[in-house]
Amino acid sequence: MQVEYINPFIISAIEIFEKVAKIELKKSNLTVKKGTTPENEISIVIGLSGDFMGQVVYSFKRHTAQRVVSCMMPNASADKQMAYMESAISSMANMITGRATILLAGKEKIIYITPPTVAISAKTEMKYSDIPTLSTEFTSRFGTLQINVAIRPK
Amino acid sequence: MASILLADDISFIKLVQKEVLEKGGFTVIGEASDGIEVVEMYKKLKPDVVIMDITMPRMDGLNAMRAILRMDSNARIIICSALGQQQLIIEAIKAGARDFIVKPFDPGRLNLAIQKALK
Ligand SMILES: [Mg+2]
Repeated sequence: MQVEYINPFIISAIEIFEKVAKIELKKSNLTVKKGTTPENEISIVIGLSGDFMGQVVYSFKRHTAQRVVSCMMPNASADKQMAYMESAISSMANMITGRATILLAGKEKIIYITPPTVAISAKTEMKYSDIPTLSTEFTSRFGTLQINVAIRPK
Repeated sequence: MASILLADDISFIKLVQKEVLEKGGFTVIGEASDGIEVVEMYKKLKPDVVIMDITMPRMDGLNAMRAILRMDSNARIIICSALGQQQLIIEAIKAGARDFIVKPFDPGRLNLAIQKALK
């Protein structure tokens, strides 16, 4: 797997977090994994198809996800923020992936994505087929966030 | 007051859209969560404008738009999607979308697209 495939996701994550939640993300490290298990409690899985295939997994600690959501809907009550937590985090993952596909697709290619699937548990076992995974960690004032990208051109 | 039907699988997006549209003076008369549901709701509600996501379960927004336009060739449908690839925008406009807005959307841009579609 080539490093350039993860760069669009890194650029998009920084942009979208800033735009939607006014949160500054800093890239901390990049690692290559085999069968990846996201390390945090809340994971959002989005599949890619079309001219690229594979999947992307966004993973957050619960308290980080809660704080991010509170920045995405600052005027809502705590109850409402709680009720919309999974949905708001899913929309963030959807927008980051969507923005990244614009950068990956260029002018000719078309990439489709699946609706986000939310997985909640301490450690979710996830198989990424045979595609190696590039994992990036970001730090923010609310904790870390991980993006795992296992994609390749069709 | 123009009536709007929203279609998006992510409820948070519809919450934000509804807030923006109501502030803009529009009435949201229905909220669908997938492509099949939006086609059924369109038949029943006959909204002035549909705000349509692309990535949704069961049927995607481009196919739902085509189904609605087959029933009502004057349907006003605005795509609002996280996908903003050039080829997809071309495909959507060719298929009959009045406008294509990429998420995260600017509230003013969404209201303006509806006003333009209504003219
Ligand atoms: Mg969607």
